[in-house]
Amino acid sequence: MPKVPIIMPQLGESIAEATVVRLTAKVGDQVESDQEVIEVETNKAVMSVTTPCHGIIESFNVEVNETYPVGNVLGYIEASVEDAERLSASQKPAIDQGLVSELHLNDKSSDAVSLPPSHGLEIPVDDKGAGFRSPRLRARLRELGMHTSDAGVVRGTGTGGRVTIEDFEAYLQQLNRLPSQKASPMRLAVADSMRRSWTRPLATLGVSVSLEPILAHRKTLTPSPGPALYLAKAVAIALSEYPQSAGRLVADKIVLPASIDIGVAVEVEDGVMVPVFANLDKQPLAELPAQYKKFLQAAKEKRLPQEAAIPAIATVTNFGTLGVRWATPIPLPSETLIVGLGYGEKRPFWDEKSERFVPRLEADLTVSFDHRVIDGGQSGRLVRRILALLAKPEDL
Amino acid sequence: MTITYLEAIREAQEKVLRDDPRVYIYGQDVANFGGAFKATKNLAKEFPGRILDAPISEDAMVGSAIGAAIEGMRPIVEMQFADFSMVAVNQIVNQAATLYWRTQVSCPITIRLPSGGNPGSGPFHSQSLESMYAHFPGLVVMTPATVEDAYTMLREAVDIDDPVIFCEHKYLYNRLKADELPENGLPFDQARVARSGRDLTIVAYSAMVHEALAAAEQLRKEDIEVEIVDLRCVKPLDLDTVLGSVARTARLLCVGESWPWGGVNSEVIASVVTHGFHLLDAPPQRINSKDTPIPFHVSLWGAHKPSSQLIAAAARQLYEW
Amino acid sequence: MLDTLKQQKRDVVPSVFQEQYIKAFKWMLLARTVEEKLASLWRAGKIAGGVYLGKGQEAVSAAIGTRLKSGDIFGPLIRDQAGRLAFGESLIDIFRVHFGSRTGPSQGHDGNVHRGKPREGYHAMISHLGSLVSVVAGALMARRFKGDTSAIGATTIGDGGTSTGAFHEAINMAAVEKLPLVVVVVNNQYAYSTPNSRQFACNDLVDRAIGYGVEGYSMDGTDLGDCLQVIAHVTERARSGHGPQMVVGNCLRLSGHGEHDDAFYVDKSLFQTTLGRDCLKVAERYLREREWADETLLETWRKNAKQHVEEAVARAQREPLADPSDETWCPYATPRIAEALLVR
Repeated sequence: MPKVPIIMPQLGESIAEATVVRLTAKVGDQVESDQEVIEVETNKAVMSVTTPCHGIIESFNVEVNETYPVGNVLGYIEASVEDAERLSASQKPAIDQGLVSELHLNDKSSDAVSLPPSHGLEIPVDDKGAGFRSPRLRARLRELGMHTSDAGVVRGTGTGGRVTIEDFEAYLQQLNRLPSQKASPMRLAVADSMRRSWTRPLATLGVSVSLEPILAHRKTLTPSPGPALYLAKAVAIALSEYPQSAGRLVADKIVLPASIDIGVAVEVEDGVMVPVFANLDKQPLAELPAQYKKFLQAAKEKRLPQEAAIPAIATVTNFGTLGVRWATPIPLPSETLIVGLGYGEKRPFWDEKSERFVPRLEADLTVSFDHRVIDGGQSGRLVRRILALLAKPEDL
Repeated sequence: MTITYLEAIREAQEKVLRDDPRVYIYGQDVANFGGAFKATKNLAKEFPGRILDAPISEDAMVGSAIGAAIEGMRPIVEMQFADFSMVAVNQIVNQAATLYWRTQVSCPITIRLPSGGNPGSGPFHSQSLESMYAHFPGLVVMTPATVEDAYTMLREAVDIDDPVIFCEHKYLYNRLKADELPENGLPFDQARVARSGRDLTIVAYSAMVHEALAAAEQLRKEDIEVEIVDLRCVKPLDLDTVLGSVARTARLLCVGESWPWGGVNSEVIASVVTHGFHLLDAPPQRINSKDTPIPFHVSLWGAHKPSSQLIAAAARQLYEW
Repeated sequence: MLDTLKQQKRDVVPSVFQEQYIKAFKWMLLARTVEEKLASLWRAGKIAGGVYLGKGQEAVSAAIGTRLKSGDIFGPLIRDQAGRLAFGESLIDIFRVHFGSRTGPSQGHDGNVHRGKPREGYHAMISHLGSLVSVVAGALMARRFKGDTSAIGATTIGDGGTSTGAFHEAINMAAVEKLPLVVVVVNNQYAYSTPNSRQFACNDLVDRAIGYGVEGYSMDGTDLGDCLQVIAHVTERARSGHGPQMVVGNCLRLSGHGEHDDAFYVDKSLFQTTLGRDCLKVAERYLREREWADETLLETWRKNAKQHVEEAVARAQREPLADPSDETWCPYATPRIAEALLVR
């Protein structure tokens, strides 16, 4: 015959256990359903445990004066098959959902427990890998004065390839083993400026320009201006004619320049300075060398005169003096374009008249620009105008 | 010799009654009957005239305790169930909590709330109201999780000059046992690191501390080391201990048995995000009871409140975030 | 019960009664003067929030205040200026609280009628009607615990307040505990704008006393003499161990609910009845009839009251008001908690 357990019932609010006072039936007794068989005492009262069904008491698993938790099996009844089936189907003892239910604890499948909806937990696709910085990582970067891009090199081992704080600290330790020196304030200022510029889509185009008209013309002036000043003046005139090329895109507006102020990049110790010629389109070329000399001296001392320390609308950089032929310089954050000049060299030039190559002094001229503001056609027109002006320096 | 959480509450009351003639206990069925849960068993015999049966008038029970406290007494009011304290909310919130602010006269009353769920107790004998009471300035809300805390904190509740809502968890009453009672514990307003761990902080209080501990034990097998902060007292809140733990682990999971809206968990998370955003590696998470009234059926109830397996699952997800 | 009372009234020694009557009348007069000043300060914009007056209810209130002894407990409600003064409230504190002075008993944390010195037995009401009754009852329980059996407590409530659960719970509890509590219900016919007919369905509120198992009395709230007699009787009953006493004083509120309320809804015919009499005028007439005071003496009393009030206002106005910059913003009395809040 099947056995049906006699269970310590839930005897009241917050009763976890009860003590057996005495047995009111004995093993082998024929019992009816709901017959009182064990007297138990809780801290509230004395109560009785009753039988779940008709049958014969098979055993008791209890001792008088001992305490047993709610849900414990106190004994068994030999019962009919029908009763046993009925009771096992409907009478799962009210499981104590205990302080700890071991049930499902090891089950990691998602239907084991229904997690509350958590809208924040999925990592956004765009933020996977190095793109994501946790608040803690960002705070650590800030503490060290680091930019997020400074941590871009760290390989992430976290979820989705993210950089964890441990990854980052390991990287720092690795850095500490390498020789390093303090970056100068100038270096840091340039770095900051370049980072801010780099947030824009920048494009560069380049053309060859003959330096011969300039070299011929500069002999007629004392003191004679260098190629960078010719270029700056030409850029100034061209931009005065195409001011939208120097416009800045701010929200839904193109902000046009109020005056044609052009900067000339000057290499100084550990960085670059850019003195600015205000209203350059209106200044005679002959007066520029003296002014430039003054600016140059000031820049070397890293102290520009007030009139030259204004924002420019574009910059000219003569990277040719560094022996560089071609480069893609980056416009300052407040400027839309920068015009560069490579070093001059004799190159074969096809002379249509004599139908042969002749040597000609040429350099490469580059224009790097914010592609959001201008595009190929517009920048092309600007470059053609600059070339035309440089071909006839007497008009500058 | 073991002592239960419930016995600790009785012992604490016995001690304050013995040590302090200003203490008396007022509540339904607390005298001869010894209280619905027997938290005042035999006290009426031991302290005749100081354990008084009250009519079913929670408002008047608390109102009279306020009047007595003004006169220098230290009343303990036993609510039969935390749920019934809602009838006295006006006295608790508008009268007791504001008294010191309004008059510079303190209101040292202790209101004991048998709180939290128990199998089969249903919507009106299972509530956890600490979040609601913590909302009101002027109230101290204690939520002891251990036998030792139940004992020392209840004595402190009687001792301090402000009205205390003492949330004692019914589920722990007879299930939680200790070998002996300490003379003194941590000050009531200090949280306790119940378990140290490097990977994740779980902030819990009352019965949920034990669910969190069980979850932590499981997670340890998976090499996830959980740190558990037992708030002990939810108002005032010991944010320093919480932030200290989050600074070590960078991940926060809050567990509370009250409902989610504007509760202790919300407050802990809001405070950590405000004051410790820079400490975090992942968005703080919380587990509360489901946002419905409390169900009667044992299985529904088991799924309604936070459980160790739910905590373990949430912790796992947070760890991997 | 009322018969016994009438009997007692005749038994009072006339000279003692005269002295008590004049004393109570002076508190009524001072209360009226204070409230007229409060109304005028409110209209001049010197008081923020509301001003709630007890015009027409001074007789009941003064009778309670003068019948309580030092060491008793008093839980006044909004229209108890006379009783508060008679129980010992200082004139300047009234204005300090209305102005929100840093020096006042409320320090700007609460205003107008929400004032008191609870440790001195003078309770500070909250706005929730009925909830003060159990507080006063609890204070009496404390006295009993401490072995003080001589003190009694009195509290007042309006006709509207008797409809609250808190009132019922408290008076029932006080009856169970047999506390020496006097509950004076001032039926001024309107709870804000709601008339008795929409407030309760019993014949007379005093009928409730028997249901609670407490002694119940009615009195003419416009007649100071009647009020003094009845309150003298019930305070004595309470003091001599006869448990809670419930008194219903009938009158008419002669002002709006607050100074913002013109009370257009009041049935004008009530002014023609005994209920609508101004208790202060009734008392003045009585004093003249008895030749306890003539018009010259009355005028002197009025002038004195006015002078005291003006002095108190002038002093209160010179005192510093509550200031957010030096407010501690701490609602806790426990030093540990207060210190932690200050650190933050």
